[in-house]
Amino acid sequence: MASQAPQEENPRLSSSLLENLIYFRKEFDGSMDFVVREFKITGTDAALLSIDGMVNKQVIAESILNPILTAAVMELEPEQKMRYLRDNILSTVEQVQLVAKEDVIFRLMNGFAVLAIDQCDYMLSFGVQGFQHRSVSEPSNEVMQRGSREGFVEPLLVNMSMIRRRMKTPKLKFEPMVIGKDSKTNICLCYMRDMVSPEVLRLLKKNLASIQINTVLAAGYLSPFLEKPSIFNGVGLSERPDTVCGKINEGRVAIIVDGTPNVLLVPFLFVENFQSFDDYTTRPFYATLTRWLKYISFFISIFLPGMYVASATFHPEFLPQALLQKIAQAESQTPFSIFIEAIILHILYEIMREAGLRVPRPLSHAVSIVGALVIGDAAVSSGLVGSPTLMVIALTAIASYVTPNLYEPISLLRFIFIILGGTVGIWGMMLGFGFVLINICAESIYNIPFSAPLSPFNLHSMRDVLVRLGWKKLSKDEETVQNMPGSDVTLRGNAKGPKQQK
Amino acid sequence: MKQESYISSRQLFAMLIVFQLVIMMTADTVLLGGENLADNILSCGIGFAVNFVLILPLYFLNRRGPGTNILEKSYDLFGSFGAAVALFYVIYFIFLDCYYLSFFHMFTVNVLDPKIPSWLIAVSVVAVAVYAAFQRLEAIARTAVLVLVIILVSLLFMFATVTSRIDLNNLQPFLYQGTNQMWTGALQFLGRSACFSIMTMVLPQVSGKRKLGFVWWNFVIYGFMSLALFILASTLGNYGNTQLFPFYSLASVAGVGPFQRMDVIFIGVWISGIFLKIAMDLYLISRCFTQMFNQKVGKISIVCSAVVISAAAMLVVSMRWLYQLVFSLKLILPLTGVAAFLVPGILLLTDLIKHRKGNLHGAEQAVQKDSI
Repeated sequence: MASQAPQEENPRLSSSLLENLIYFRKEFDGSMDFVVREFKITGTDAALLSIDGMVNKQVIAESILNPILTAAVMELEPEQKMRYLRDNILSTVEQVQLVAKEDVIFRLMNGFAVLAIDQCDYMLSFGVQGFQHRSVSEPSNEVMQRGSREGFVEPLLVNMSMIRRRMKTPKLKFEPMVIGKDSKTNICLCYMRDMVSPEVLRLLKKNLASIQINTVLAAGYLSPFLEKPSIFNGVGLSERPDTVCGKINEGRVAIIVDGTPNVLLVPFLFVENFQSFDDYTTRPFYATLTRWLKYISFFISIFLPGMYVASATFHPEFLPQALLQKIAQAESQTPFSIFIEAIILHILYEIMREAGLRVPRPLSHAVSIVGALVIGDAAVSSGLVGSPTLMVIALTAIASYVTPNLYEPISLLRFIFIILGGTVGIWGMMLGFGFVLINICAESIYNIPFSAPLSPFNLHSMRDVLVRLGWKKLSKDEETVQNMPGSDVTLRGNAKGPKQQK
Repeated sequence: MKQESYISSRQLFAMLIVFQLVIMMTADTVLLGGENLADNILSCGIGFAVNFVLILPLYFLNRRGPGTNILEKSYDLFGSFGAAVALFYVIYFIFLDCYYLSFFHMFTVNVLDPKIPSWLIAVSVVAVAVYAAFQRLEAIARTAVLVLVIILVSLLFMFATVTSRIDLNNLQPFLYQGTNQMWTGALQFLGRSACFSIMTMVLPQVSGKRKLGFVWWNFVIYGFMSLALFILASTLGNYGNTQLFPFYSLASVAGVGPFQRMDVIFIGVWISGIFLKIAMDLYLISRCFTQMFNQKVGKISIVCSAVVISAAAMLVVSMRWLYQLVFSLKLILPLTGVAAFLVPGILLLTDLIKHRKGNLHGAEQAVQKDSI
């Protein structure tokens, strides 16, 4: 049983029950969900505080109120009564002694019931959480063929249990933190003690502790505080407990945020965008093939429309004669240039995609039909856009879903490359590519190069980048993220100085 | 001052291969001194051998003070007069970038004649280079490794597609018209060996096997150039002699299956290499200014130098006498000689003399103490 030490800004509880109740009633200002059940324990005033909807009333009745009210408490002193109840009567597993007012409020907000007795300067909190939550279901954004069907849900404890069930080792550690001035959101750092770099952990904790934000309502609220601004994400996101377990086993730290089914993963490297859990459940040759399909799809989704516009507008000599004739034939029927067509189609596609995401489910069919008819058929047959441009944009759209983690940067870069290709031609495309490369290579996530192990290059790591070797080989020596080439942190945690590197 | 990051020797020499390949690809029969490109394969051999001599002052200087670069060394030895060395390297890097960019600008104006203003392309290249320079050495080095892979794969693919067009009858015997072309080519290659000046600045920040890296770098650049010259001469024959950019001509005749032209590969390789080279030089210029003044001036100097380089490159292409001066061996060869060999050599000698004097002085004092 832990007693929490009060801080200066965290005033201590009074020994008078009345004073305490006045304080808490004032704090909650008559909020209807703040429930105070007052009763007497052999003549001494007592009260049980809870938040309606956050607790399981049946558990309160059976495990707290009934035992207290039926118990024969012979002690005279209030403190002795509390001690007797605690040690002999109350059967709840999770009991914490509280001495500070803020701690009481924090516990109440987290679904605890709090017992207070007059003339006793501490209170007892009981874990009787009983709020409603969504049951565990298959994650909708990370669908896998052969993996588990379980996805994270909103309550922190359920998510923790899903990780613990898969990693039955005491080396797995959960470390709680609270972020958000008003929301006081519980977050939990989850890592393997023997795999994580203490330096990465130290920097991460320092970053989290320095976050000044009022509310944290989703995992995405924290990401910007954990990485430097860049086009690509240095913080991963997963809805799958199996994926998270795999990542923490490679030395990463998972951040579970209460109230959201997404878990943050730090540090996250560029190549991880192309790795999915299914890669590790299928046979190596097939996993290698799908991985290369992902790389190709990434390049198609970013560069194809831009290259198409640049080639057709400025450098027709780059296209084979037969293809060029087909494009010229189709485009001669349309009023807009290829550049404008590509821009219009791209914007239309993004509008339809956004509408598809937000529209109520019963209307989604209508949106799909209108989109397919208007964009797919009517636009071409009415001669507004050429079918080659439409095909390029459609192919690009499909290719961008092969790497769903990268959708946001892909969408932005595709648009930029269409503009570059349509205004500066192949020169602009090349320079844009250089800019993206520099952006990727300049990023370091907690002193680990974002572009590793491609650059700085590590041949050994290519077994899970360019190819995916079988488990017999992969399991021989497991790689940790901090051992990537160019990394400035080691497993022991000391930042490598120049002298050590030399 | 911010702690400078470390790169590996593999990254350094991969970066230097990119820089050297990019400028070597601009070789033509005018610059190489004649029409028998086979002679220039011998020039590669000379360049390969001479590089081992050129590196010696830098090698010994680095051995004497592995943790200090040439700027710090010059300040150590000459005090505030060491700024002259920093200033020389600033001018040298600006000249080099102007040289590289003028070539590129000339290529876009004379060969491609793009629909958009060619100055805009040149300025865009410099703008991306400025962004890269602000990301510092580590980012440039990491990018260079990826670019090197792209360049090597692209060029090998291009070479593979033209192998069917190789006709050995196009080749002339070695030194058929004397040795002039061989020597001119060798001097041209050496004059363009700008990588030594980069090494003078960044070697202390490099970890790993630097000697082996240098040997590999030397072997790869001249090996690759020899292969390229052989393919160029045997594929294009006399047609190559009339071209301003024979490598581009080679790319445009290459083709396999649906890939009918490879121009895009040449353009891509050149752009990706040139912006990195300019980025590296801008970064080194900022290091020189940081050494002379402070870090703030160093950062401002990146933008200012970029503006100067862009303007100068435009000027070079538009003025014939300037163009002849910049592209002649008369300027680039002595400047590279001073930057790569003379400055490190002078610093090495001064260091040796000062060290010796210091030793003698110490010995005299010891003798005087003994006599007392």
